[in-house]
Amino acid sequence: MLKDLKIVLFMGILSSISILMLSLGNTVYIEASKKAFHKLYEQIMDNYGLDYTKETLLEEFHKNFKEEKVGSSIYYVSKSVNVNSVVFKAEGPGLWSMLELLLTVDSERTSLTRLEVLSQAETPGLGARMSEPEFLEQFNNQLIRPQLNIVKRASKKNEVDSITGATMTSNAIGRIINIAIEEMDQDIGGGKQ
Amino acid sequence: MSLGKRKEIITAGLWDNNPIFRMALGLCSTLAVTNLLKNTLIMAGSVFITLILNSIIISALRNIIPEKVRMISYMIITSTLVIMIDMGLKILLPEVSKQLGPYVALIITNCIIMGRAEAFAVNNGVFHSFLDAVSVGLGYSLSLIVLGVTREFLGFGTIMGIAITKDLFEPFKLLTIPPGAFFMLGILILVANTITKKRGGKV
Repeated sequence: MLKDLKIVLFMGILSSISILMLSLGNTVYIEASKKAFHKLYEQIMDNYGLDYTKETLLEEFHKNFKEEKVGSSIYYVSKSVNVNSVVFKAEGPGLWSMLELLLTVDSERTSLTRLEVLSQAETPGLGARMSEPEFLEQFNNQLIRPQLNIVKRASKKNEVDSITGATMTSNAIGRIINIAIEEMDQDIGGGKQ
Repeated sequence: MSLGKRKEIITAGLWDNNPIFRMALGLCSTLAVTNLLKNTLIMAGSVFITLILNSIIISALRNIIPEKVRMISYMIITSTLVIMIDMGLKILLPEVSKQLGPYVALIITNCIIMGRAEAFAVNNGVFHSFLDAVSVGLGYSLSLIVLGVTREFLGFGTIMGIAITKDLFEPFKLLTIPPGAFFMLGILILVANTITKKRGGKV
């Protein structure tokens, strides 16, 4: 009886210490994660050529962009430059890692203004080349209706070239973009189809 | 304990008890993160810190931990340590953390950590457990570094991201992905075993 009590007491204390440490760590982690949003706001402001200072970042951002939250997705709709264009994050599995993309869709909601890569860890020299300007430039003012196709040799207006030797990563990017656009249409309404 | 015993503990983890080349433990993280030397160093560092703290704590508590909940206690201690390190990495080095992906969290499942706790820390004093952890940790780190340097050099032609032999030879792209690591590891184990045999040891 006493032995069992000792076991319960020991496990209780050990677990409590563990929970305490993890809670403290988590609090610090959440504070640090808030900074990540600031970085994103800065990137979007820079893309649109809008001015801000370190102190006025939040104020200026919310002045120029309307934040629409649908479920777990956050859409930033522009109120001043290219009104009605929308910027949002799209995420999905690549071949070896999660791909985090930043999509900027134009005011008509028919083309991608630009595509940016926030993070990826694909095969260096192959899939990882998705972050190179050569690949990403294709997405400047790129038609995405009825859907975007990433193919071996782009010929139609809604097609872009895939990365040679990185079929799976290229397919993943196409998949992520198309699903994200579909969700955008459902969440905040698309433009003409 | 005598100086000789201390020396024995320190050298054991480097070769005879080398977790990767001799005991084939902790291979999962080995194969996944050694394609770039930078990632390798961070991973090795994380395992090293976890191993040392884990062994010290368990050794310090070895007379208090009830027999029946030994394994569970190890798990709570190891898990807490690894989660804190993972969070720390996410905050301080977010880029590297994304490249390492789930493998830092998987250190919890790394056999080396619990292996040394059960095989050594729970039966020995704090200082000697510390030495054992340092030794095995160094053995693990060195093995990882050898693998990392080889893979990055032959697979990309760079070391720590700095191009060394840019046009000298066509890099072996196969080594940049996990299956390539598997082959490389096999070759290194072959080399390690050959050296051991030549010295007259047991393979």
